Formats: sequence, C-alpha cells, structure tokens
Amino acid sequence: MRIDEVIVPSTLGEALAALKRNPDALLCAGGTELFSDEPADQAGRPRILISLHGVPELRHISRTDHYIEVGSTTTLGELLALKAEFLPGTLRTVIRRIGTYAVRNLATLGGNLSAPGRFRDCFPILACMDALAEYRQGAASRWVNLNRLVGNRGTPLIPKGEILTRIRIPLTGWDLGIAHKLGLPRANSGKTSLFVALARTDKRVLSDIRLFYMSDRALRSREIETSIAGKRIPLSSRDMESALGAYASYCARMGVPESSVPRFLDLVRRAFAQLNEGAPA
Amino acid sequence: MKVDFILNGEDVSCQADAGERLSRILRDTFSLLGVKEDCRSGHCGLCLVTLNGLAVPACLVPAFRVRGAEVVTIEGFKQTEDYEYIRKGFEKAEAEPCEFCRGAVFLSTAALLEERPRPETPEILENLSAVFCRCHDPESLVRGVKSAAELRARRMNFRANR
Repeated sequence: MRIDEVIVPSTLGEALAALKRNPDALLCAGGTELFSDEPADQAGRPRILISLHGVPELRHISRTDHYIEVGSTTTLGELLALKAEFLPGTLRTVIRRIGTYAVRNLATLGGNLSAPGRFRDCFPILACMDALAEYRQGAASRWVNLNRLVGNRGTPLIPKGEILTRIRIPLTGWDLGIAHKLGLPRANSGKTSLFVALARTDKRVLSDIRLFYMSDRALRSREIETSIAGKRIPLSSRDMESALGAYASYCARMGVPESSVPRFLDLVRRAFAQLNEGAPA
Repeated sequence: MKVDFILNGEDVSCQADAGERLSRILRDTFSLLGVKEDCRSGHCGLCLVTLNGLAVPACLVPAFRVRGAEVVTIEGFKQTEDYEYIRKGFEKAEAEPCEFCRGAVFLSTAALLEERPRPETPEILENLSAVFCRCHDPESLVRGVKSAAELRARRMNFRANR
C-alpha cells in the first residue's frame, strides 16, 4: 500500500499531538494489518500513518489482584510469555491460535482490537471477560467496555480520533472456558470464525454464562444469557432447547445467513454439553 | 523515504516506499535471495528474518518499521557460529531441510534455542509451525532441532568450563 507520510512519535504526548493535527491518520504499531489481504480493509485507508511502535508508555504491563493492564502495543508474543496466573487460560488459547509465533512477535493486542471491517480473534474473549479499553484524545481519557464497541448489526464501532492506550483484563476465574476457531488454522481472521463460551457455577447453579460467536459479524445476546443464568446444572433438555430456540430467533433478527445458523447452534449445544459434563453428579 | 538500518551487521541505507514490505526490499535492493516470498501473509515463514533479535516474517514488516533497526537474514546468519552447530545438528540427525526451506528452518531453530536451550517436542513443533516446510516430515525436523540443541549445549558447557 502507498503511504505518503509516516509519523513516528517517541512519547504518548507526541502521538496524541500528531493525531490531533491529523485526525484521519491511520494508527498502527506492529504493522501486520497494513498487509491484510482483505479488500474491505484496504479501501479508504488514509495516506498518513502514525506508528506507535516507539512509544514506551504503550508497552507497559501492570497487574493488581483483580486485573492485568496491558499497553496496546504489547505484542501477542509478549502476552504469551506472561506467567499462567497473569493471563487467563482461554485468552491464552485464543492468542496461541493467531498466526505463527513469528507473526505474534509483530502483531499487537491493540492492533487486533482495532482492525477495521470486522472483529479479530481477541475481541470475543475479551468482550466476554468484560475487558475495558482506555482511549485517549488530547488530555482526556475514557474507559470503554469492549461490548460497547459492537454496533447494532454486530459490526465494529472502533472510535476514531482517539488512541487505544491500555486494555484492562479481569483475572476473575471461570469454571468453563471454550474457544473454538473454525476455518483454516493459519488463515487470516477475515476467513475464520470464532466461538467463545465462558461460564461460572455456584452450588450446582449456573451463575453466569457468556456466549460469543464471531464470523463476519459479532453475535452475543445478553438477554438470552440472562435467561439461562440461574438454571440448575446439569441443564435440562427443556432449558437447552428453549435457549437454542431463542438463539435461532436472535440469528434471524440479526440477519445471519441461514447456512451459518446450524453451525452456531451446534457450537452452543456443544458448550451446554460440556457444561453438563463438568457438573457435579 | 530513506530507510537506514543495520543489515547483517553492516549499516545500510536505501530508498523505499514507507509501506513496502521488508522482504521485497531485501530481495530487490540488497539481492538477498535467501529471503523467499511465497504467501505474503506471514504464514509460510519462508521470508523469516530477525528484527532486533526477534524472528519475524519479513513480508509483514513495512519499511518504516525497519528504520534504525537491526535485521539479520539467513545470509548474515550463515556467517555465525550458531549457524554451524544448527547445520551440523540437522546433518547429524539426517534431517537437513531442502535448500528452499533451510534458511527459515535454521533461523527459526536459532530463535527457539535462544529462548529454550532444551526444548520439548511440543515446543519444537510449535516453533516449526512458523515455517511451512513441504519437503520434510515434522518428526525428522524435531530430531534435527534436538540434535542441534545437544551440540549447542555441549559448546556452551565447553565455554563455561574453559
């Protein structure tokens, strides 16, 4: 792709000032998305680019008892190098299935969450975990729950004119964590689908469940999740069929192609089965 | 734009479009043909180089990321001792990759051994998955990496005891 000007700030302040001067500039760090072969991604690319790879503030990783905070230009390889207790297991599984280790040495978490056109692999799991993203513009900053970056039709609402600086990932435990990547294992995110399920149980009761399916759009219904939560484990056939029926209607409302619906429902069914298998007798 | 960087230990400079792939610059401007271009999406691994010490697919590195960085290709790596023990290790295990994949497999092996001097088989397989080698079965490549690790460990011990 042709780029007319590259701005390489060395501090966050410089990066924010550069973005203020060039609000339409494309932000990047690893640079891997620049070579995305998806035509939709290349359309309308700005000719001015701000490369954040030299901004040390954006590579910082810190941790409290409740969450880990990751700078947006942290590479996926650096995340995988974290100790097991600092990176939730299902998130680790998802990251390990992105490209090869050499690609992960370049690709950043911020880039994965900010790619245009469609969500990339880290989004579903982080959204299910209620991860927060910090966006900065000038002197102002705001934290946004990733779920708020999903538009009505399940497409990304990536903020413009702001820099994604940090991602706060909760470290709360889950009793069930599933991540299924569908499609060719090495294919770009644009050609794969991802299903993520997280669930928590308390005294044989399903206290929390989150199901996210990402293909060309994001599918997650908090309404259906709330209706399943509170049921006894193992889930009865009636509970499962009722939830599957609700998901089928939800798919129709979201305009999911009919050919994709059985696959999604099958993944939900398998998540329920796995949940029931893990339930105490 | 002008791109100044360190290539195989030498300061070099070239003119390139900011968004040009490093693999193209290395092949077209510096005639380093050990960097292959195949998939151009980072998955085949045949364009593997090290960028500031990390193995990366050169086809996914834009020119502007290279400014001020240190790049080592298989041509530069061949001049090092590390290359020799990896080559000997693969030779000893009768697992030499073909000419086409060799550079990427050896660079990838070097990156792994730097991090994990005694890698387990799953780690080796994970590492080798970065290079889409069609000419060898994974088992023989694993043997090659283990043999190279053995030679490297011996050399390290020898140095430590000297």
